[in-house]
Amino acid sequence: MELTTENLQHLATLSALKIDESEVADLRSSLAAILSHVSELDSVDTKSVEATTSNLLAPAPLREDAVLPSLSNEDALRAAPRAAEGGFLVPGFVEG
Amino acid sequence: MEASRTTDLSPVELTAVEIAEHVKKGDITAEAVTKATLDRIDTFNPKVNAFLHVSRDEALEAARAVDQKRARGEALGVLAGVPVAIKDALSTRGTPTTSASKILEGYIPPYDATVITRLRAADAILPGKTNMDEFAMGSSNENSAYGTVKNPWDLTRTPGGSSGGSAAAVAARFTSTSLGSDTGGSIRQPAALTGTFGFKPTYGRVSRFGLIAFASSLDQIGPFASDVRGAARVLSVISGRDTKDATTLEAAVPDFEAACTRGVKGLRIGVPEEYFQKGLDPEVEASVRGALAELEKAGCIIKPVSLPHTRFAVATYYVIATAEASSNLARFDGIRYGLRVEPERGGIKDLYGATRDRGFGKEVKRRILLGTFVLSAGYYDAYYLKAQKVRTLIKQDFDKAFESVDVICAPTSPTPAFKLGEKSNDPLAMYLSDIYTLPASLAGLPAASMPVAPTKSGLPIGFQMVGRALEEETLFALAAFMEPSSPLRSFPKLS
Repeated sequence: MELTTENLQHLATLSALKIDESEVADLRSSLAAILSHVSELDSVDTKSVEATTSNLLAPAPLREDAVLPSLSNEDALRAAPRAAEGGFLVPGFVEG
Repeated sequence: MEASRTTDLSPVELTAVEIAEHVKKGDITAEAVTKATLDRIDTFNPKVNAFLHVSRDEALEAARAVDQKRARGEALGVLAGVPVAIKDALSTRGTPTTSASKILEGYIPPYDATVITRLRAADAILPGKTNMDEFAMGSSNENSAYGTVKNPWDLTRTPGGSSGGSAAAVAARFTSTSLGSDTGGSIRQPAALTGTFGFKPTYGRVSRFGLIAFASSLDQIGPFASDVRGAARVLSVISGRDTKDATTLEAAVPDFEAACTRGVKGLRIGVPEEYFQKGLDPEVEASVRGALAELEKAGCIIKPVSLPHTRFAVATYYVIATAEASSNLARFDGIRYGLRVEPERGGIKDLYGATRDRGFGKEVKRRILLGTFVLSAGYYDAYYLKAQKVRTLIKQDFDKAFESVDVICAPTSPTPAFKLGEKSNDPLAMYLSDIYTLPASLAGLPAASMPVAPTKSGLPIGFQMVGRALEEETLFALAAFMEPSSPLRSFPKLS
């Protein structure tokens, strides 16, 4: 499976990543090698096999929907690079 | 390469259990143990780079609190005064936690991971955070954003990864025990490469609350230790249901230390032929087969078993783990914590891109892209769903094998520690070095690595044991039986 430069840039957009021109060649060749190895899975007959989505030995139990202590607003904001008026500060994203 | 073991009461040579017992009896203070630990880290960490952050003041304060507790006649915890090094993927309140990534540089969590809460409650001392591959993605520690960890047995070689710092911390006897996390072998492989005992419990045995997630259907936290009982004691402390992690099991936590005295006569050991094929280093094979022969002499029953889908484990794992990682790592966006890069122009999407571009290393970006690809429309069925189905077949291989044996034993890693730089430019070659540890991770089974006879040049070799789900006790019994003839208690001279 070959990824074109356009494919790679599209994947980067979906991944919220920026890829510099200098990284493209290495990423294309390493991802092609990995996907070529992964294609060996095609040889496995999985027609009547169920997918394993989790290794849980028992269903995750539900708890009472009760209000429990949580992080304070101050603690939650302490590690934020920018905060103001009790909230995380983000660049504007709504026009008008 | 010289190994040493003396019998004095030097805290750096005591096991975790010995430290706790001596502190309880008053033969030694927790403060003295902690000072000796910090001194050793100060002296030798510049060579090994196992620690990213040393919590000198906090560790000494916690140690004095343990000594005061004893002086007041209060009962002490089972890890009283025992220094436990902590992988930097685990959140520690008030102490920097970076997962060895630039994107979390300077991040100080406002809460403790559940395993940290439990260690503190058992009166353990936390001297610092250990180096690792960035976000636990790697097998050599060369993907750390803060420099590579060196293998204490040979400073030109890798300690393995991703928990290489935690493994090296124990191998260098900075501490007698440490915590790591294992997604596809990240405890067992570095344990093998550094001559330490490393244990990955059953999926669901230990809470992951506060572990910076890599691949949530695989991640498990477990101990490294300089002896088997030390690991058993730490695992007993950190195991058990946690309401903050819905994937933890209700199952009662057995007395893992008691299992260490069980003996192994009549134990049925399965040896999978698929783990002894092309690519296995001859010295690793000879050492593992030698250990199996000793176990047979001791009354174990050695039986061949087959795990026919083993060769598909690397492909399966790197689809599933990267898919989960691409989702888990979406949280690092420059808004709530860590690095924030504000481009001169643009909006929030540009901020995300600029932050993640500067914050993530090459391997992390590669895995996010791969994970996004296998989950994308048009490729999901061919890659992600297919891998989940092959995962089922890998699990079924184990189910079938465990119908006739109690434990499966094999090499942990196909080679001893390789040279730093040897595989760092070839990600596929690096991934293939995980071939023996990935299957047990995909199946969610408990597994450990125990040192067996080293190579002629003195490099450690790991013997892997895999048990049935929730049967960690069998692994502790087997490892403890092997311990007297194992090089586990040897450690390298660093001076």
